[in-house]
Amino acid sequence: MTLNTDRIELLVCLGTGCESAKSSIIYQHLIEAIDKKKLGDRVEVKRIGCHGFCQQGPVIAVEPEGLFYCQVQESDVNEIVESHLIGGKPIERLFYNGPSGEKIPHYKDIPFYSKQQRVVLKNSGHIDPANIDDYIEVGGYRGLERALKNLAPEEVVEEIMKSGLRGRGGAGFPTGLKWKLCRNSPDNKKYAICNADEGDPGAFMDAAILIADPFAVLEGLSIAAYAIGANEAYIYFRREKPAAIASIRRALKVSYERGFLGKNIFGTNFSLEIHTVEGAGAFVCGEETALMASIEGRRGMPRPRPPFPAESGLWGKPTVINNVKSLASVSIILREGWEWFKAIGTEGTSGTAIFSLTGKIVNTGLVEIPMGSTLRHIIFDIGGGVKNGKTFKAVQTGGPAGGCLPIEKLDMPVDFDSLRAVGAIMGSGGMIVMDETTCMVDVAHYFLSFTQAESCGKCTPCRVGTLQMLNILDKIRSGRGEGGDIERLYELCDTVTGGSLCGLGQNAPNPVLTTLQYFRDEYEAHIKDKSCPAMVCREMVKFTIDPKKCIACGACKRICPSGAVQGEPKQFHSIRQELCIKCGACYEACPPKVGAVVKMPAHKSLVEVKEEAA
Amino acid sequence: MPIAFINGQKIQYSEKDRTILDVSRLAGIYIPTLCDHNELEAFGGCRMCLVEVEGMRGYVPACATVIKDGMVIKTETEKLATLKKRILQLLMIEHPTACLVCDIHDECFRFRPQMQKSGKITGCYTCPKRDKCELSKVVTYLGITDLDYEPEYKKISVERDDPFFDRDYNLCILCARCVRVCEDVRGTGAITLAKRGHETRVDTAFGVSHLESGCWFCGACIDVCSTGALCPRKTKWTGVPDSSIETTCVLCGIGCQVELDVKFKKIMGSFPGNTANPPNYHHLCVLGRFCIPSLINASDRLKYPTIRKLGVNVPVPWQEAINEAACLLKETPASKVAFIGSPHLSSESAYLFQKLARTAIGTSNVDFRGSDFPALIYQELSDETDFTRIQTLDHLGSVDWVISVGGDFVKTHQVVAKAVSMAIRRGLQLVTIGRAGLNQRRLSSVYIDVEPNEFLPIISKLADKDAKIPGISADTTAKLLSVVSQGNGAILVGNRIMESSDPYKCLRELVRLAGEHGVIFPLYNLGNEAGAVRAGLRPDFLPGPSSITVEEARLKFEKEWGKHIISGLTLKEMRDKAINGELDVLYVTDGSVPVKGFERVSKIIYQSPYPSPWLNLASVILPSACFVEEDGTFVNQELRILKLKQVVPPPGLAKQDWAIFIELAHSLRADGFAHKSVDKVWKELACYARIMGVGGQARRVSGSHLAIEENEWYPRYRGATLAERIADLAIFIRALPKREPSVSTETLDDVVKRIKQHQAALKEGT
Repeated sequence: MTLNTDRIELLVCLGTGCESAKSSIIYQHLIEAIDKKKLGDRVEVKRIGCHGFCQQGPVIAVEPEGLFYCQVQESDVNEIVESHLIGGKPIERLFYNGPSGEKIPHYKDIPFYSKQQRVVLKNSGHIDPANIDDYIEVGGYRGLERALKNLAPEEVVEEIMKSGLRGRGGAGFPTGLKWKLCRNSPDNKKYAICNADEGDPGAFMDAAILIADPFAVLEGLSIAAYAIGANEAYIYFRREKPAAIASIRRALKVSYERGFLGKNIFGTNFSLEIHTVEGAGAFVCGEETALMASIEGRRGMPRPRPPFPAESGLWGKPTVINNVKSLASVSIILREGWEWFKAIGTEGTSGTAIFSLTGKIVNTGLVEIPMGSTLRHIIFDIGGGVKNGKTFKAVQTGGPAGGCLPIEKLDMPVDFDSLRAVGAIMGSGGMIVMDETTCMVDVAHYFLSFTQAESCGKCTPCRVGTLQMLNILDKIRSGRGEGGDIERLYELCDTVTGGSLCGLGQNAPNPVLTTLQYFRDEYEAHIKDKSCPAMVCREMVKFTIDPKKCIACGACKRICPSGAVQGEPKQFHSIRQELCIKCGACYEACPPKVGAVVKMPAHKSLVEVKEEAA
Repeated sequence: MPIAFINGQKIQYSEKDRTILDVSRLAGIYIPTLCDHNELEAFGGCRMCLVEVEGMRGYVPACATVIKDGMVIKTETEKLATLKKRILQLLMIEHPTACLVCDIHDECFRFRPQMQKSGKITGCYTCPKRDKCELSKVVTYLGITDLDYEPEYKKISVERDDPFFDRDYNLCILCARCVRVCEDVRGTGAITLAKRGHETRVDTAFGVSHLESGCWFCGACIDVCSTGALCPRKTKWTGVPDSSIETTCVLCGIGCQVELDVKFKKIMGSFPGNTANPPNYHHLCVLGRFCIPSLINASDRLKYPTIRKLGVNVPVPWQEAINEAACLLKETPASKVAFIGSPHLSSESAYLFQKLARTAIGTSNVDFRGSDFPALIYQELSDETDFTRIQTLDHLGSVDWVISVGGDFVKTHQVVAKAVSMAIRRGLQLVTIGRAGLNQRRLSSVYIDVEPNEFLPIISKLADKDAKIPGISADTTAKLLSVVSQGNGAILVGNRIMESSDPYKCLRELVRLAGEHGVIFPLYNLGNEAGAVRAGLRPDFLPGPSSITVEEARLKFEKEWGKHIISGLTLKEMRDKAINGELDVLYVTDGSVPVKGFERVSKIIYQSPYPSPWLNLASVILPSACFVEEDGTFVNQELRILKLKQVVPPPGLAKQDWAIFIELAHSLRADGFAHKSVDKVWKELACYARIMGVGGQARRVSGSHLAIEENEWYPRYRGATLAERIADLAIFIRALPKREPSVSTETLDDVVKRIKQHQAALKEGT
């Protein structure tokens, strides 16, 4: 393959995933090398936001061909310059390895990309997020221009209502309706807020959009402000995502300079100020009333609704709060028209869904699909299936308050209503895949311990109820479970769901409820048989050495931190259970060929396990 | 009238009853609540008031849900009962529940009428709040007798490091009433909810002590606490009182209504009075809330009348002491006798005291400590329209802005601070001119830190709406004018105005600044100053008060009393005279007046409940009653007439002041002292109308004597210095200067940098 070397754009991903794999250093090296070779007139190195395929980071896209280098190292920089930029010969070694081992040079051919439909993420990884002209070039600010010049605020609201956009923050409340309520509230001071407080563990969609395409969010926020009649808006971040904050602040500065913010935007009467607020990182501050309390400088605690923010929100004024993805969609709807948007997705939920796909999955990354695609499509077609050849067990959607869905639900369409019907939620778009080595009781415990720790402490069911559930799960996990625990869990779930003040508490039991519903046998195994089928729960697992396989190499003995492994050279080794702390070091140390250390249920003997296996 | 259906019952309600809870309560339908409080906004945290409303998803909190016409509400369904029971059980597992699950609970409570003192509260029988506990009421209502879950005792050690009250957060149910009352009502914000999840607790910011956190120890948090988590340390274990009587506190000019618990004829505790009672509406300051019992029950109270014989104070019968005092007064020419009253006397006592001086002795040498400030107010606002500007704090609702001059009311008048902070929450803006502490600065929209002698030019310019004020930046001036230029204002005048170059003019300009319907709130630091001035306890004032220089007033009193009246000596003039040896007899009723300068007075009659340095000089000592031991009348700074009630008898042979004056007058064979009760005295006093005359103000602009004696907040009561008697108060007052940090110019980033450098240095060191 020979390449056109007249005009080359190197797009270096500086999204969080690639950045943590030192892509910024690669970027620096590239610039220096190009300077040195004086290639500056025909090669341009650009920083881009998240390209999406985080698993393969650091990634570099080469335009206009659309070549895709992945897992680039610092040491590869010289080769790229010499071979590709000067020699016009691409480096095949850095191409993506396809599922069947073949090299795929263009990203459009990689299944991870080709099976997605990128609408909101269209610009991500293709434009320089710091450059407003890049954004304008790909159609940016056309939506705002159209809204301000051609449409009355009521018509903008109408347009959004017709598009069928539902809030991407989790609950899926119709965005247009929310705007209409706020628009109709009689008050001359109103606020629009962008909720960028993305706090779910393992979720990075909002941050990725803010880093890769900040102007789209600002445009959407401007449209929202215009539609409801606000001239002040806020963006609420969490401090832990500094890259996103920096990106938006940079974008804000440019927008003010270029007149897309400030007084008389597009020469109209519409003026807008956007403030940024950094939250200290409380999960509950993603809840709208808590978020507003936090902006006002108070402790981030939800308050009862009604009154809804659309009637009485920030500083007691009518307020609209929208998620980053909703606002990015708004820009597109205004640009392309509601009919275009409505055509994507399903009848009840139009548009696309964005997930950050993580967990035991081959292709970790940012995924955008039309609403109504199946889970199987996301996990297997795009995600490439479960890692390391393991079998799929469950998928958890919707962040810590979401639910775990088993393999039977894989063909279910993904949208707000279908997910809620099976006990999970859309949430803001986290998706965690689990394989057979995941214990569902442990998973429930993990998610619940997160919501418990993040409960604001205001209402009793959430503060104490989740703790009680956690205690019971802990009991079950450590082999002290007893009859009635499952019923008690159900009872507590009921209390916490029914009694809690805000969405955090009301949804906190979801991981427990869904695991109880779909994996009840696992709970029963823990309680009745005192065994953990996935062999995760430490109290129910033991390590033994199969004397028939042991070659007395001593690897396990050397690594054992507690001196539990007994044995002399040329003798079979054994593990003293009373000293074992079940760290699994010996299991890892035993050479795979030998496989003498066995991980097995604590209550069984080696003979029994072998017989069962046979 | 809109209608709602609650539990099938058709209920009419008026629009102002906003929430479901309000309407249910008015209709007599009980909905249990824990975090709701009538002074606070709805919180929605305890979930005890959940109800079902047709057409609304899930359960809704009655406290926060606005009732709508035609709403169908169910407050008691089986589902709700189960849910609430479970939630309450969850709440109870964090709360010490030894008694709840105890088998002999009922017998125990029957045979142990009082709670048992204990270091650690494990259940109701060791809880000081046992008889007033709101949690136990809800527990009983919902019928919880056992717990389905394991108790989860928080194991927090009882916090006893701060003065006045103990905090046992093991009992706390996180209703956050204390946090809300501190921030939303009192405007202090000393405490907050800290941490998250199960670790959530009430704490100060960064866990510093209450002394450092900006707490004023007003005790509002204790009064709203729904459990026994917060308890005043001194009165924690006194149990059920024999009686509780509401009277007026005289420790500053507000005249708060306090409810005093009495047991075995001693005062055991003081609490804020009824919610509906002005002027304080159930709020107090540190003095009223914590200091009254220690002050009244002091062991060194004067109990027996004594006469100095051969240099020793010898106890004598009352009659002998009275005769001796009368003898001293009679023997001396009237011009060489002086009477020092007290701002803590009841109005009746003050009236009788000056009447005694003016009719029985024939001198107007009567004055009291700190009388100049109230005198200034009465003199300068002598005009009827001006005088009616002195209004109650309730009028803060009808003004557009507030300006505070020459005082730190957050420090000296916590109850005023509460009213102002509530007004600020409603949108009023506060301007502070003159030095003030951190808390007041926090409340102020504009704060101008100037010395009192600069008050006058600033205020004059402001009244002229002049945008150029010397010494103040244009920004600040613009901000100032934007606040004060519209509508009517309220003026809070502190006594530091007396230090300004011309207090009279200053006050006049303030009145002009306030606008046509502006109001004035003088802040009296000491006590019954307004009452004392009204009773004529000033050398230049007669009862009413009437100015002695107004011919009409003077003639009226001369005719009535049959004595020639001339203007007398002020306190300062008395001292000057005493230094020159021109004063022979001094009748002192306020031990807090400094002795200095009066050493050469040969005969001193000292009448007070408390010992003081005057004891060593006094020829006759007459023990008198404290304010809780007498009936009487208190006129507060808003000119409200408040009643003092006798709550306990005076100790030993001590007598009420007014009774002593009457006896003394009888002994002097003076006419016009035939009153049989305090009421009769008040009736006589109340008849005198204010006669200040137009243009006839008794101006005494000689300047030097206007300097006030008490410009620092250091409460004293008739010879008792509160901080010397009450160790906790001393700790508090001593801590006050420490919490006024110099304003740092460091940004947050600088702080982070500094901390990092410090940590790096520490690491290197190790």
